[in-house]
Order: sequence, then structure tokens, then C-alpha cells
Amino acid sequence: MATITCPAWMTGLIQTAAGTAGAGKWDIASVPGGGGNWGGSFLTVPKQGKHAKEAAELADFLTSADSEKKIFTGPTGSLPSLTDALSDPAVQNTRKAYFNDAPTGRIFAASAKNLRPSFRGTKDQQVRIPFANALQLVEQRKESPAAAWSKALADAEKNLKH
Amino acid sequence: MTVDAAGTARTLASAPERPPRSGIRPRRAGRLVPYGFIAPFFLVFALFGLYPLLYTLWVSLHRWDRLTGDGGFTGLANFRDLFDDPDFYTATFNTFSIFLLSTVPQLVLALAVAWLLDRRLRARTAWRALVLVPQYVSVVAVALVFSQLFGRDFGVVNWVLEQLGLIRDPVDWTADTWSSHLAISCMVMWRWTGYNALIYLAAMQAVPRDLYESALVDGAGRLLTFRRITLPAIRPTLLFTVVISTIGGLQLFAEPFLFDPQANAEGGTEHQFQTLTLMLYKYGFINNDAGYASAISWVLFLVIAAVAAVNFLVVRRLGGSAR
Amino acid sequence: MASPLATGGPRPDTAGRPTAGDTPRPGAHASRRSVRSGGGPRHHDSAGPLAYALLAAVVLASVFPLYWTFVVASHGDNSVLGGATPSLAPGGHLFENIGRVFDTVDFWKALGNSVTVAASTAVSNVLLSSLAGFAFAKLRFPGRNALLVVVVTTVMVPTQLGIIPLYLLVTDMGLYGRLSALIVPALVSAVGVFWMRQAMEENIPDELVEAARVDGAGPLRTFWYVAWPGVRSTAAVLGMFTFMFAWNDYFWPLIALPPENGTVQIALNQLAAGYYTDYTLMLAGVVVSVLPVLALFAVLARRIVSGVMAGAVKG
Repeated sequence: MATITCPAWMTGLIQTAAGTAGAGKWDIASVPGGGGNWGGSFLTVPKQGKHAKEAAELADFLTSADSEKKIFTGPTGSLPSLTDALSDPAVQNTRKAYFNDAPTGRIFAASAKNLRPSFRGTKDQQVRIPFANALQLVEQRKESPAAAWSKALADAEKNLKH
Repeated sequence: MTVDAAGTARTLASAPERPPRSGIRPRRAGRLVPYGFIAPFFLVFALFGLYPLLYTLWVSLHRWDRLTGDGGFTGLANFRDLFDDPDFYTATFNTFSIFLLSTVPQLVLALAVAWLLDRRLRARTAWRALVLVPQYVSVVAVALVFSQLFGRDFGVVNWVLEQLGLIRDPVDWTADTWSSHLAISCMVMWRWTGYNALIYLAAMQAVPRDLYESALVDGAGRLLTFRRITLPAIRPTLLFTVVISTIGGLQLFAEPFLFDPQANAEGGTEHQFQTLTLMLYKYGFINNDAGYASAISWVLFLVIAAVAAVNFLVVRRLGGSAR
Repeated sequence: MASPLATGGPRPDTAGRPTAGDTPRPGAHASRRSVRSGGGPRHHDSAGPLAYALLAAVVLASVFPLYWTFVVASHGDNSVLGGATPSLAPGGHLFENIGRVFDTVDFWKALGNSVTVAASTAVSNVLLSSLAGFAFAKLRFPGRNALLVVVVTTVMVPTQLGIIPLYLLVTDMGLYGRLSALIVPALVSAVGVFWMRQAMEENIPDELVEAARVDGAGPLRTFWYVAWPGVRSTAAVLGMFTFMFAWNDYFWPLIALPPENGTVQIALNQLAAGYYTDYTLMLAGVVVSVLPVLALFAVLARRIVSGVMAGAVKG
């Protein structure tokens, strides 16, 4: 059985890519041992902007409970960022027909609630790459997880130095 | 020439801008004009070619962040760290390996193709043009297409190899050193063989046919005439292509960069196909350490100069002895 | 890799061949001449079926990746890649996919940028290289030979290696993100100067230049009215090559331009990025990026071939 790590926002992409032929052939389950976070968006209104006020209003609109619920239950499927919205019945009861009626609301909301935030510093990108490499090394069966972990740490240190 | 230039020159004289003179040396102001004609080149080169190269040396002696700028003079610290860095040696090895794998077979193949083309063929221009087509597909396109062809699960190459019974499991081309080098070399070879073949063809076509005919009369086979007549005759061209291919081959960037779908200049999980230029890009534009990247630049420059010089001498010596 | 503008090395040691002109067909006359002197059925020049077969194999290898690109780009989804046997027949979705390419990234802008950069660079390089080539070939001034040697040596300088300071310089000049960052450093190339100098040497007789000078024409007029018409063919080839090289350039545009204002090559890259790779989309992008160049190539094939070969034999 082929699997893919899938954040809430990817459900829409999968539907587009797999097309109507894929309907009903997919399902969604929680990650054993707890999931993580992948991606997400941040809305910023720069001071230098020409329409800062309108931009701020737009940002408010996009992140309002109503909008976020609509986005989640609609084809895009991005998870609400407001933690209150996560417990909203509209969100909790959402099921996606495409994914065999998977209860996406409950799955993703639970995952979000159990999330432990990870720190992202200014050198996040440089540090992240060695860890991605390490995971791939394990997948390629070239290193044991322990060895890959040490390698990732060493490479991350090097990326911080240079 | 389609224009009667002589007549034009005479027409110009009917409205002279200066009094006619009989000497050859131009007047004082006119003496500067030639310099004006060549100035744009030297200006552009000085500003965008030479200055950056020298500035690279300056930057390499500092702790210099690409975004925040000069962080203080550190002398040869960057170079010292570089020579202590195992990734540097990996990248150097990769650079040479990919260079040899892609250049040597390519030039040999180009010679063979040129030899095939050096005949009275029907649709001569069509053959030559078709052989040249890969040169005009951009590196990005080539890299994307070839990364797909060499894909692990759905690549055509794996399919062909499996059909031929050469492999049992699909090869993960990006995963290992030898496989990634091979795949990248294929990309480079695909792109450049036709071009070099035409260069050799041009040189071959300038060899007088009488030499071949008299050799044939003497009973020499095609292969012998190739070795004894063709090769020595095109030696300067061979030399030239070797040097140019060396300079380019040691600087490979786009192919290894785009071979990795992640395009993070890592050159694979263990830097298995990270060339020196890729390493330069990684440290300069992803890690933003301009000082370290500049050190890599200069070391690479010296390596290229040294290898090009060696190549030049070797090929010149080899070609000199007309066996 | 070496620029396609790189010229050939010194002339082959064998003498006696007429010098290649502007659009040379080297060997064309020679091979015809040798036919009648052939002793037996085998000539050095003859092309048997084996030669054709091998050449066909080479051409197949050259063309197959492009054909395959077209096949994938014309399918509806990635399923063309799955399955036990790769499909080699084109699908019917090419235009649809091309449409998607234009929807996904601002390909029109990228195309426009590429055309602007490539055309500007080509025109400028031809003009400025011709001027410099004329000066080196037909004007006498102190230091001419030494300066020419300098020009030739600069071909050997791997400019890719000054990329970091070049980036810093361009940023300081306020050119980062603007097309001028691509155009200005490429306004004139050493190879262009060298080619045009060769063309001037071979095609413009000294006597004509002298005649013009004696009649009172200044260097600029001499250049424009006497020299330029004679080297138009070479200039055209140089322009073509400069255009194509600028069109295909990747490394520097990647660094100097942001993705939103990129060239076609950058836009292609954008198509390949993303959370999953839509190969039909990506390769449709390749088709779009390659079509203009291939079209130009098809129309000008003979010139380009002669240009490449002429570059090999000159000087």
C-alpha cells in the first residue's frame, strides 16, 4: 500500500492530481506516534504597503473563523489556524467523500492539538537540509537511523559555521 | 560582397569631413578612435569579468555574509576551513569524475560521428543539423527531461535496462556516486557530442582529399588513414576542444544542480554528485557565506587553470608523435 | 560548459585549402574533385549503408529525449509514466497542458523577458564586437597585438567563478532583479570580438579600407559603409549564437533575477518545483521553452551549421 505524508492542505492537491479516476481509492489516517507540521502560511502586512489598511482587513477576513471553516470544508482543505475553530462542529464533522469519507476534521484537528511547536530560527533552512538528507539516507538504506542522526547534527553544525 | 564598397568609398569623398591627406597615419584626434572602438569590450570585461574575479579573492579573505556584508578580515581562515572540510574533497572528486566521464567518451564519440559525417552524404545539412539539435535545448530542459528518463520508478532508462536483462531491480540513479555520475555524464554527452562533432568535421573537411586517395591506392584501410592522416591533421582542433571542454566540464553546474529534484545544491544525500560549482552555490546562495564560497571559487579557478594547462601539454605531446 | 560561441583553434596544419568564406561549405568542392581520381569502388569519401545506419542511430539518440518530452507533455496526467511499458505514442492533451503552463507561472512574462534579454544581447554584441573587430583587423594603433592577445586570453577566464562578487556588484549598482543585470555584463563578448575580427580580416581587403581613408572617410564611416556590409553573414551567425546562448542561460539569471521576473529557464524551474511533480506540466513547459529556439534553428539550420563549422576552422 503506497502512503504519503499528508497535511490538510494537500488533500486538495491530491484530488487535483489524481483526478476523478482516484475518487474513493484514497483514505486518510493519523500518523502512528503523532504527526507533525508541514508548511503553513503567514500573512504579513508590510508598513511600506500602499494599502496597508485594506490589506489588514483582508488578512482579518481570511483568518476569521467563518472563512477558515469554509476553506476547510471546501475543496482546498487547509486546516483552520484558529484553535477555537478546530473544535467547531462544522470542522469536527467534516468528511471527505474523495477519501472514502475520511473524517478529516477529527484527524487533523487532533493532530494539531497534540502538536508540540518546534523552534524555527533564522538559519532554519540551512539546518533543516541535513536532517532531510539524513531521513533520505535511512530510506535509501545507506545508514542506520542513529548514524544518520549524528551525521545530520554534524552537518547542521557545519552549516551554521559556514 | 553585395555592395560595391569601393564605389561607396569614393562617394564619401565627395563630401569630405576632413581635408584629404596622403599619409597613412591618422591625425591626432583620429588616433584615439581605434581605442574607442575596442573600449566597450575592455570596459565590460574589466567591470564584469576581471573585477569580480579579483574581488572574489578579497571577499575570500573575510568573514562575509551575502546579506549583511563584510564581517571582518580573517586572512586565510576560509581556505583553512575549506581544506579541512571533507565535503571539499568529495566535491573535488565528483568534479573530476564527472568531468572525465562526460568529456572523454564525448570527444571520442564526437570524433567518430565526425568521421561518419566526413563523407559524401545525401541530405548532408540535415544530418549535421540533426546532430546539433541537442545543443540548442537549454540545460534546464535537458536536466528536467533526463532526470525523468533516469527516474527510479518510471524512468525509461531503467525500463530499457530491465528489458535487456541487465538489471533486476530499478536503479535509484540519484542515490549512488557511480550511478549519478553516469547519468549526469549522459546528460552532458547528449548535449555536446554533436557540437564537437561538427567542429571536428570542419577540421576534417579541410584535409586535402588527395592524401586519402593516395593512401587508399597504397592499400591503407580506413582506420589507418584515420590514425595517420586525419588525427594529426586536426590536432590543433583536438587541442582546442580538449581545453574548452576542460574549462567547461570542471565548472558543471546546471546538470548536477537540477538532477536533484530538491534543487538545494546538496548534490544528493551524501553529496555524491555535488561538484565544486554546486558547492560554491550552496555556500554562497543558500548558506549565504560569501567568504567561504569565494574561497571555493578561487580554488576552483586555480584547479581549472592547472588542469587546462596540463591537458594542453598532454594532448599537444600525444598528437605530436605521428605514430 | 563551454559557450557555443567558442571559436575553433588554429587552422589545420595542412595547407592548400581555400580559406573558408563567410558561409563556407568546406570540402564540398574537394570531394567532388576526388571522385574522378578514385581507383576502385571504395573511396575515402563514400558513405555505405553502415555509415547511414550508424548516423541514424546517433540522430535517434539525439532526438529521442525531445520526442519523449513531447509524448509526456501531450498526456493528460502522470499515468503516462506509470505502468510496465512506457508509452511512446503522443496523447491529445498538448495544448491543454500548454495552457496550464501559462496558468501556473507567468510564462508570457518569462518569454517576454527572455526575448528582451536575448535580442538586446545579440544586437549589442554584434554591433560592439564588429566595431572592435574592425579596429583590431583594419586599424593600426599602438598596442594592437598585445591587446588582441588580452582579448583571446579572456576567453579562458571562467567568469562563473566571479559569480558572488558579480552578484554583489550588480546589487550595488541597483540592477538586481532587473533585466539589465543580464544584459549589461553581456553587451560584448571576447568570442564575438574574435569572430568579427576574423571576418573582417578575411572579407575586407585592406585596399578598400585604404581607399576610404585616402578619400577622407573617418574610421566610423569606413566601418559602416565599407566593412560592415562585407561581414553581414558572420554578423548574422554571431547574432544567432548570442541569442541562443542568452536564451538558454541558467546560472546567472537564476542568481540575478527573482522567480517572478525570471527568464524562460527560471520559469521552467518553477514548474518543476512544488509539493509534487506534475511531469506533464513540467515537460509541457519544456516544449514551450524549446519551441522558439527549435523553430529558429529549423529555419536557420544551414547557417547555424556553417557557423559552427566556420568557427572551428577560422584563426
